[in-house]
Amino acid sequence: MRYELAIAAHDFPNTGGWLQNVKEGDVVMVRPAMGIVGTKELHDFLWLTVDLLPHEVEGLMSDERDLTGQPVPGGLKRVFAIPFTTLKTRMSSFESIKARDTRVVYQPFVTINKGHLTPVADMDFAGLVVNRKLGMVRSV
Amino acid sequence: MGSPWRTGLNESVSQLGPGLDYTSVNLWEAAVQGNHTAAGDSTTHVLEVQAHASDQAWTISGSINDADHPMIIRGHVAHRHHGIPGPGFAGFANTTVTHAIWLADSFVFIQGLVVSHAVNSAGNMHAIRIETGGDHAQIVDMLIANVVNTGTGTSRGISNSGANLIVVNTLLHNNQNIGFYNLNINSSLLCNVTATGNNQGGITNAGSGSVIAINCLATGNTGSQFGGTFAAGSTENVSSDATAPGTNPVINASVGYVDALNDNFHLTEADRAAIGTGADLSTDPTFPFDRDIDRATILTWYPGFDSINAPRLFTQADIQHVLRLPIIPEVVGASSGGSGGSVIRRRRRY
Repeated sequence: MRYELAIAAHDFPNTGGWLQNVKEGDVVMVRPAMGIVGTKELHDFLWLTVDLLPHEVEGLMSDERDLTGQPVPGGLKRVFAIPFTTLKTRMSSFESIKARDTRVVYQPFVTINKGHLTPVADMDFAGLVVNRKLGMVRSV
Repeated sequence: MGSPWRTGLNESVSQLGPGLDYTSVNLWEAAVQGNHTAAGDSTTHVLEVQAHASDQAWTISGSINDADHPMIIRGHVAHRHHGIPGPGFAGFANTTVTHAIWLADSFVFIQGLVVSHAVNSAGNMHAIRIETGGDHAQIVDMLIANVVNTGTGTSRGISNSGANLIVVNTLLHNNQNIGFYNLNINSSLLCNVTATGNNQGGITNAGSGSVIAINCLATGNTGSQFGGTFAAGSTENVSSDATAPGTNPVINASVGYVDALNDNFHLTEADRAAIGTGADLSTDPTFPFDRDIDRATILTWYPGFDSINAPRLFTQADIQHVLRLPIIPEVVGASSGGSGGSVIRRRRRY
């Protein structure tokens, strides 16, 4: 099943909140493919499409939890991320400097036309996502 | 006092829906996350939802809000529901394996949405999960229905561990587990909540905190209609068993609703006669309001989310939404101020 992922294109500033804000590469949003994107969602987020099974989606937007399952104050807003270095291995033309530049719309993994999103190609989920807390690739 | 939809100071409003600012609550939330208090950016961030199924699985965490500067997610005026759950109105049907709405920030207000939830998980994944730290949340005019977890876990309508939660004019129907479940040691206030057809209980306080239920109507739930202990101040509640708490309870009530088979849980005249009148909350010291689920002004209060038996007054925006007809502006005359300006009135093109 095709899902849309939006990952942070840059570090967002922390403001002393209960959790940190998102960091570059964090999986901020995952949803079944809708094929639409908002006008304010193009500068700060990179959009990808991935073929996933429902159980592979579970926890992808998780924050940092302690052993009892409670959120950790000051912890990570997102545990799972897709490093730009990984994106570069999937698309050699990927330019991380452009991705971080919020003045331009840079969406190399999808085509955007009048608010409609079309995938260039679905990414292979295997090896794509890392667990920031464990420092290792998420197994599917 | 009027609407229970509270607002904030210095609102910055974004729109959610196809072709609009955002299509994802989570992306809006990440973009506006910050210190929103007077000591911060002093802004109330508002997201108006203009579509159904426009997002999946919201997480609201990491901002600093206060009573004057909450974060608000509300149904857009032209897309608000009419008191009957279903697609076509502001809201969404979650299928992502997590809670449909997960709140960990304080002062988050969610208003006027339809939420359903279908997941397959070994974990407990609820329609609305309020974590410890998600204090002072307000759940108002919400229709939370058809919440299912086909895995070994379960799903409740609202599962609360936050302090000072307020739930008003809200329907909890056909949730796989309990409609409303309080786990916290702190206080919750439930006003005019209708809980019916939930599969392991209607409204339950499983914690040691203070839960006040006023004008709440729980019928036809499997298990107890009201479970646990309810605090002083609870009054005018109705149950189809003997569990309605507080003063002036109506127990063993028979309530049929207008069309329960089709999820219409408005009250019939016979229902009103069976349950009696409710407490007037228009001057309530904690959360005064005088509108029911249909946004009609309440003249006589009844338990449950529907106090007005007169047909609701549709706004032009409602009609435009239902009929999906274009509205065009029309200049109809000079303004009375004589400044040369014109009065713009909206006219329907047939």
